[in-house]
Order: sequence, then structure tokens, then C-alpha cells
Amino acid sequence: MYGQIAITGAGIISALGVGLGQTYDGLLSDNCPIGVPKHLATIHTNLPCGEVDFSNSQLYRLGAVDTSMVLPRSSLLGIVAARQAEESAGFDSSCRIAFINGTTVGGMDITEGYLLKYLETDEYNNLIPLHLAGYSTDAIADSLSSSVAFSDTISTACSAAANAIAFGAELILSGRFDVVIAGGVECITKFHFNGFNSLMILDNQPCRPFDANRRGLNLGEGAAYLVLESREHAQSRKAPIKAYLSGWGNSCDAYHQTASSPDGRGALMAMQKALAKAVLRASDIDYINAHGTGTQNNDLSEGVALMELFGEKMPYVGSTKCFTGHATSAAGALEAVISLLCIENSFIPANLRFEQKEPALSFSPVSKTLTGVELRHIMSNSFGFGGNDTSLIISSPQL
Amino acid sequence: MSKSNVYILSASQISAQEPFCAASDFLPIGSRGMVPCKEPDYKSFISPMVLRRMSSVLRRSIAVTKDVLKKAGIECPDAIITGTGLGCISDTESFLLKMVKEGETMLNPSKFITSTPNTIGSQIAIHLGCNGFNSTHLHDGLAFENAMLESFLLLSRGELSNVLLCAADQLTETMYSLLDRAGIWKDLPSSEASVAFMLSSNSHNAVARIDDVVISRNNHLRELERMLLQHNLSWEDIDTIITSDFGGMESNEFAFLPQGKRILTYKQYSGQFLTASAIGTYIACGMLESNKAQKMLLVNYCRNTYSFTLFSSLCTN
Repeated sequence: MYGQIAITGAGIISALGVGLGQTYDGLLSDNCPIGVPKHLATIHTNLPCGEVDFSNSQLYRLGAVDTSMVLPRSSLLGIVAARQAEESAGFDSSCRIAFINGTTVGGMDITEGYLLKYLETDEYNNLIPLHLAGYSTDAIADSLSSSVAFSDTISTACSAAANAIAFGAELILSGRFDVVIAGGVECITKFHFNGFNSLMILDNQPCRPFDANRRGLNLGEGAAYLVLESREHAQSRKAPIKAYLSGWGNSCDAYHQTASSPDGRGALMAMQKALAKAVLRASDIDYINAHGTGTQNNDLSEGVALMELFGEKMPYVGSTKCFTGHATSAAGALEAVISLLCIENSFIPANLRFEQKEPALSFSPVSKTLTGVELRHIMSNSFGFGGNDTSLIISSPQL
Repeated sequence: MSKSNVYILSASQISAQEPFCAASDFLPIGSRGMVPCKEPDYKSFISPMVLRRMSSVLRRSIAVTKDVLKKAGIECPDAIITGTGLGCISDTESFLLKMVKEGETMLNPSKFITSTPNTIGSQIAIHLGCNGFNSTHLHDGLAFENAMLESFLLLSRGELSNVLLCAADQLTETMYSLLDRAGIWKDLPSSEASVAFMLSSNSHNAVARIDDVVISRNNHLRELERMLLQHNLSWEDIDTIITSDFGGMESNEFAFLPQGKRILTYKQYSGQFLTASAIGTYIACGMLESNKAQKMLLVNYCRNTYSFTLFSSLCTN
């Protein structure tokens, strides 16, 4: 369905910086922002991650958020990115607007910080409801200058933001809303930092997606949102169309709670559904922004699914998690916005630190930044715990 | 607007009521405090080995899933769409308490693995071997309606031919007491449930039709009027309203509803939990199937947002 769902705005905050400009510059730079935790109060000070380099009080200032409101870090990150998206699209406040947010941690940072106090005293009772993910979503929705008619939180682990974007597209197709701001947010919490660490899938060095010697992932954080509307609506208000969301596919691997199937069945089906929705052939895809976490299991399973789908004509493949870390529920949105930047600027970011080809795979990722590459269609993959696999296709507006 | 093609084929519940019992057999639950689920024997649904490792929210959700599929004569659905307010809160709480009390060392990943809210939908998928569409809505008191809206849109557009819609929430002592102190339960009995509905775009053997789902956080009166208008309905045509009000506690929030209508409530049967409106929907299904109501409107409310679900009976008068 190329040409139906227009992307007319975007906002982003991640380890790469704030906004599209800093993100683009960061992707072209050799300075990888992944480093040891500065803002997360953890004992695992040696484990690299892709933090957004702002304290919460700095985020309050950046987002112009009233400091008398206690908000989880995820809401603060979300506010910065969602407002950028809203401003960049410049739609009229009379539009019917929905806000769809992919997140899993919600207010977990507040809960883990105060839980022992909650158990001892009533002093912090007003903070307890912040645990609920819907609160953190609605705090973002309420920060927008337009009135949001419908809000929702999608939580499918590491594919949450991709599924939020897909649901946003369905809402536009339904005709119920003129504009949908869809994406996701996740802040690094001690809860999931320790959860991933206990699973022994965190690399103690910056991650190396698709490398034969990869040792795991680095967690990341951030927020990103796309502004979606029908092409007719965008054209009627003379809004520049940055790209089209031309396909989306969701499939469940139904194999294991944390591991991906060896044949990447869910991943393959999600990609096939996205191609079918877009009415495209595999050979139309120019670049795959892979899920590519850097774990043994994901990169092998995803790689096998890519080989099955693309055969010998493998498009460029790369993971941008080597810049941002794996921002879990926000990853699909960060990577959708990065894909948009790639289309607008005709480049493919380097899959950093790649040295040795994985012997079980037929392809190697893009190891050096490519510029001047005309990109028609980019496939962006997001695969989550529980086998919640989603693939998006983002297409150039000039085809 | 043409008639909706979204039908409910079957429904199942494990809640504070007798497991799997019909809504007509529901009895009011206690008046305060924690009222846990009444559990069935799970052996006919889940093998003992698997059952032992499974948290209560997962075993209940798998049991109601198997029950609705069997009733509908469907082996594997096209999609599994879940609504949950707190997800797998017992496993979340267990990993979290260990971490904050004992520190960030020696943590066992098993509770973390099953702590994410989408574990419910993905464990159902793993049990059924279902590779179809799978999504989870985690949006407080409207998680179930948001999941129903996604199901409704995908069925209406013909993207899917059937959907397993599941609502699930779990009660734990710590989270109960925290949310109680935060005023979330409003001094009402707090409970839990897993409720499943088999939805289809085919009316064969259906028990009720979902005409529409409308959710509004900024102008509920206008949205409600628009919905009625689109379906060529006036208030006269709606014979029964069912709301999330409880003994008049939230009567201000529901004061806009017309006087003189049959207005029912469901929380005296479900207790308070974030997806309790799924029990309201279960009751609506029962009434529509047995011709005790023809046209029903379910109204749920959470933090300035209203949801309106319009149902029709398929019984011919």
C-alpha cells in the first residue's frame, strides 16, 4: 500500500542526541556514544549501555516540563520526542489526533527507586500510580499542544514501538483519526538492566551485531515518534511528505519465551507479511535495518530468516543498535526514524565494530558508512521476548 | 454506516465467580479487601510439568483460551490480542522485591523472563502453536477496550477473519496494598480474572454482535452522539446500559447517561481490577445471547477517558 500512509513528522532522543540533526550527525560520526552508565544508579558500572546523556532534571528543562510534576524518566524522554514530532508536522489543532506509545517499563524507575519507602511509609503514596504504563503514556499525550482524542500503550517487549506504529497506521486507515503520533519510549531501569544481565546476554564491551565473535547486547534508551496521516490529509493541508509507511507485518514466533526459533519462523513471517502489505517483492528492499541485537541467538535466527527471504540477492543489512544500544520497547521507533533519515539523506550507517563474518550466514553487514545510495524501500525489524516479531517498510516519497 | 461484521462466538472466564460459569449464575462478591479468583482444576488444560512453573495469570489465561476455542470450534485463531492493566505482576513483583531488598547480585532470571506483560499473549501463542498476529495493550483501566478496538478494526477491514481477545489481570498482596493506599480501588473489593472472547467476522453460531467501540479522552458526549448517529440509533433504541460504576461511587462520572433506562453495573460481580470491564462484556454477552437485552451499551471510565461499546443481540424477536 505504497502512498497511503504518509509520514509528515518525526521526533527522536537517544544516545545519539536530541532531534533529527544530532541523530544524523551521530550516525555519520566515528564517535560511538555507547559507554558505561552515568545516570543509572547501578552497581554494574562496567556494563556499557546507550544512555541518553541527560539527567532527569536536565530532561525536565529540555522538555519544558513543570518540575512540580513527578514523572518517570520514560515520560520525560517521551515528551521531548513527541513534542518534536508534533512541531515538525505542523498540523492544525482541530485535527482528530491519537497518540500510540510502545513501552514496557512505564514508571518502573520510580517504583524501583521508592518501593522500600512505599512499604514503610505513606509519605510517597501519590507516586504509586506512576507505576502504571498508561500514566507515563498519558503524561506524554497531555504534554502535546493538541488535544489527544485517543491514547494507547502497546507493550510487546522489544517490538512495542513497531507495533504502536503499525496500530497507528490501522487507525489512519479506519478513518477515525486525521493524525496519529505513534512510536515508543523506554528508559533504562535497574529492573531490566539486571534482568538482561541475569540472562547473561549483555556484552561487557560495545556490541558487535552479526559478527562471528559477538557476545551480546548493550541496553539503550530513548524515545521516537512518527506523525502518520493519510496522503490525502497531508496533501490537503500542503504538508511535506517525508516518507511513506508502506508495509507492516506482525507474527508470533510461538517458540520460546526468550529465545528465537532456529529457523527464524516468526521473523520470516513478519517480513513476508510486511512485503505483502506493501505489495513489494523482496528485491525491492534496498536496506534492512535489522533487529541485530548482537546476541548469538537473535543475529543467527534473524540472519537465517533473511537468507530464506532474500536468498542470494541480499540487500544491504545493518544494525544501528551499535550506536544506540538496544532501546527495547523504543527500538522500533528509533530505527523507524533512523530509516527515515537514511531515505532523506541517501546513506546507510555503518554496522560498527564488524570484523568477522558469521560462518552460518551468507552475508556480512554494512561495515562502513555508505553515502550517495538512493534508497527506495527500507525494511526495519523489531523482534521481542515471547516471539513478538514485527517488520515495518518505510519508503521514499519520490518513486 | 453499514452494519458491523464483528461477532462474538464464545466467551469464557476465570474470576471471583465460579470458573467458567454463565453470567446468569454470577453472585455478588465481598464488600472490601482482596477477593481472589476461584480456580478450576487446570490439569485438563495444561500438563502438570508446565503448570508447576506457570504463574496464576498465565494458567488462567491459557485455560480460558482453550475453553473459548473449544466452544467456537476453532483450533488456532488468526490473532491473539491481549489487554492487561498490570501484566504479569506477580513475577514482576518477585524479581523487583528481590532486587531492591537483596541488591543487584545473585538474581535469577526466571521471574524476569515471565515478567513482561506480553508473556500472557505469547504463552497462549506458544501453547497453541499460533504464528498469527499477536499484540498486547497495557493501558490501565482501558487496556481491554483498546485491545477490543484493535480487534474490531482488524476484523472490520477484513485483515483477519477471527481474533482471540483476552483480558487478564492478577492480584498480588503487595500491589493490592500499594494501589489501595494510592486510592485506585476506591475502598471496593479488589479482584482479578482472565476472560477470553472468540471474535469472528462470520456470524455463524455467534452469540452477539459488537456494533462499535469508541474511546474518547477529550469529548465523550460528542463521540457518543456521533456513534449513535452513525448507527442510526437514538437513546430509545438502547434497552440496557451497563457501566463500570459501583454502588454510585462514580455517579458523577455517569450522570450524562439518560434517566429512566435500565442501567446495570458489573463490579459487584467482578470486583475492582484494571480489566474488569471484560467481566462486564461477559455479562453483556450472556444477556444478549439469552435475549434478555437487544441493544446494549457498555460504558467504562478511567482517568477522564470513556469507552463506549455497542452490542446487539442476534436473537430474532
